[in-house]
Amino acid sequence: MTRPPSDISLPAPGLRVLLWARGRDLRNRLNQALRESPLRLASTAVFVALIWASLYLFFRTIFEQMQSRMFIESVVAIPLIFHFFFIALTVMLIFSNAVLVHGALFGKGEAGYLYSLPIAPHHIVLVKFLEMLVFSSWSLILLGLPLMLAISRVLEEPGPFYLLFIGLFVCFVPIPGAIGLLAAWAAGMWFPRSARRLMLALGFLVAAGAFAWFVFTWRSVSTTSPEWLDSFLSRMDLVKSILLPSTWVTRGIDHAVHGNLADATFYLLVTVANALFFGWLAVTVVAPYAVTAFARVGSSTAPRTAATPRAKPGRGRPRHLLAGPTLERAVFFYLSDPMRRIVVKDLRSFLRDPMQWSQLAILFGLMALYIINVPQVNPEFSSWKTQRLISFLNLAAVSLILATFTSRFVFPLVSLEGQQMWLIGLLPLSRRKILWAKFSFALAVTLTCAMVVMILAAVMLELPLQLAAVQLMVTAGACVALCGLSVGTGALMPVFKQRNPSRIASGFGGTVNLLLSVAYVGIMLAAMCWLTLFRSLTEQATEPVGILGDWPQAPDFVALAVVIAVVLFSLVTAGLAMHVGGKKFERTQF
Amino acid sequence: MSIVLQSVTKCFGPKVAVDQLSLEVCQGELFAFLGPNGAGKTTTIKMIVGLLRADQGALTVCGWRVGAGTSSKGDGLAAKAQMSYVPDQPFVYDKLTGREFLEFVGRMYRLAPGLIRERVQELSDRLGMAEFLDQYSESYSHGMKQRVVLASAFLHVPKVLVIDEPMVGLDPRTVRTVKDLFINYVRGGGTVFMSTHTLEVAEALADRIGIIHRGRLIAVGTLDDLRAERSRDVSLESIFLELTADRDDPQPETVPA
Repeated sequence: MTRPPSDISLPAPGLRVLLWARGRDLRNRLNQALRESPLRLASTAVFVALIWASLYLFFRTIFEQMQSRMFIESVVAIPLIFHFFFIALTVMLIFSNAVLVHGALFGKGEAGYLYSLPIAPHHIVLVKFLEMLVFSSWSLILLGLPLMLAISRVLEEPGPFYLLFIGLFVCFVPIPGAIGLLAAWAAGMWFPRSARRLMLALGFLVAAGAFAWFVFTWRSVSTTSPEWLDSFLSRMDLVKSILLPSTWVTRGIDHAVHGNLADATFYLLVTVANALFFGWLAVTVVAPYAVTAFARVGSSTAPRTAATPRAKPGRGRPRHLLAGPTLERAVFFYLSDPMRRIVVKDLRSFLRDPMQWSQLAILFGLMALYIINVPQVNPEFSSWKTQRLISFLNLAAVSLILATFTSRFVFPLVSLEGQQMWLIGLLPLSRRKILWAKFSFALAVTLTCAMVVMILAAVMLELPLQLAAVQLMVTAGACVALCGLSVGTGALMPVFKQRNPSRIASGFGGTVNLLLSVAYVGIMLAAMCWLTLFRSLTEQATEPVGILGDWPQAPDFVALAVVIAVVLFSLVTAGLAMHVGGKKFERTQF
Repeated sequence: MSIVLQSVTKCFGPKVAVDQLSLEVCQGELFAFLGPNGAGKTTTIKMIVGLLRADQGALTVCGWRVGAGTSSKGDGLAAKAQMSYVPDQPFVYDKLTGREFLEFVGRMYRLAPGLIRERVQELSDRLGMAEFLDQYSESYSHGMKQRVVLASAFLHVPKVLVIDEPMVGLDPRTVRTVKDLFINYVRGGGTVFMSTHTLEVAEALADRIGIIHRGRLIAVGTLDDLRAERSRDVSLESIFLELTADRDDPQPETVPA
């Protein structure tokens, strides 16, 4: 076969044009936001500033406390905190980048379009890598700025400190990002069918392993001896290895904090050099095989062709979710059959999507691990004051996890039905009932997870019956409130054209929902804090008979009123949100 | 030859999606590629445009080899520079206007800015896009998107146009416009490789027709050739149904007069 003449011009401005398109896209988004929703943009800016200010105050308080305590050398403790911080950041960035890059480079949509154009693959990989790096780390960079300001305020740092800190933070991010890119590509090449599940499973294993290592290390140190801190710190040498990027950044910050600008600059340059090297390495390795990985991932999800032998009759039928319609009817007996069908449909979608349940499993799994190890970590856990403190902290942790989960996964539920409204909307079911079906599904999932963790906590902490009952009731109320808020707000501010749940959750409506959820959790926790901590820890020197008093002889009606008020507040929150959302949803046109 | 496939085979695990497919499409020809759902049409098209790599065989477009991976990196880009590809579910950037998207494509193919503007205007007039070309594409209907994507395919006047289901979502007037566009393009020396389920379009436009079934090319030729093989003057639909019939397929009911 003869080659055509060599006057064929190969278009090769791919990188420039891709960056131009990205820039134009960003400009258009900003213009659209300014034109169509300036109030939304302003509110977002205000909330970001509020979050910044809160984080700054939080970090400043912590560092001031640490500096004022004599038996903890802040000179030692702060670097160790940074070591852990940046190691945790490394792991998080690796996995978040891996998941994002996998979708961007090997998923459907833009990737296939770009690969069909005459653009050099390494330009595509480079642009996508940089994009996903910014996408996965912008919030962490945002977190780093209040941290930096807090340190400088407490330790009164000179001007160059700011530049060094920002430089170290920003230049650190590409290193785990590059590892994430390589991981995503490797998963696409050799595990195309289960790449995401593999990454999520690995992430869970790493998190669980790190937690187990930390607990083991802590338990192996005797905290009764005065030298326990030295002993503990000496076991942390693994995290201070000079080969780790987290160590370079930590040492750079440490030197900057102490005014050793030359040493700090040295570590900055080490970080920059490695960031450039790892970035170059990752792009160079991945680019030539990016289309191959894309093809393998696409092939793994390709529909069966006509060459596929037909499945034998009776095989391959989807099994019932709960091992039979009888059990489904028993569990959701309170729902009508059409509503039950919607709940079962949502549960099936949830359980068949690892991206959804894995995050819940990781968060609640870590909570359960922590709860199981509390008695070993704190030998005084059985004292009533410690019990009240830890049980309150458990309630706070579970509530915040629920708020995060419902905002991320429950809020988009109504929006995701937008594409199916031609089906859902024509069912013999009122729209309000559709919302209540969504609520039932969300409550089933969250209540199950939260109750398991709180019951486990009550058992491990050997909580008195009254306290355990109050904790469980308040937790159940929180599940109802947060599910109702998320479903109701989701119906009030839907995003029907968007199919990506994470983008729905991170939009304006999702942000409002998250803030409302956090506000609810704050109010609920404030009441419970007063009840379980202030009343008992400040007002009572001896162990009280029970958190609700001595029933039936001497009940504490004030405490009872607080608990009832919290539960009612939860029910009202859910009811109000569902009512307002339901009214809007009934009027919504498609 | 514009497109040449030589004994191309593609497997997905143990399943053979395309089996020893050999085909040649000449310059200036409109080739219609037909087949039932799951026959291997889209797999073949994706191999031609380089999104899938054949397990066996060779593919060339305008003399340049096509294929993913390092060994054909330079050839692959050269082949892509000669063609345009319009998938059945085209992608456009939500937050770019149609005009900006066309500018993006034009710049990608190294067209001068003035030439891009001129061609965008011409295609906008031909495809009736003036009303929505300056709106964000997230607001487009499927038909509008299809028109913008078709315009992007013709912007740099490729030598080969590979298109999957070109008429889906288009109103009758636009269907007619697109047909005229294809005819003029082919008369000007361009090659069209078109996959479609709309047999009337294939019948009206195609110079040659290929029918694929269960990964194998079971018939190729002009409509007259295919009729001659059947020794009777039947429609393309009848030929298609006869060639792609499986034993278990239900027979179409004849409506009594």
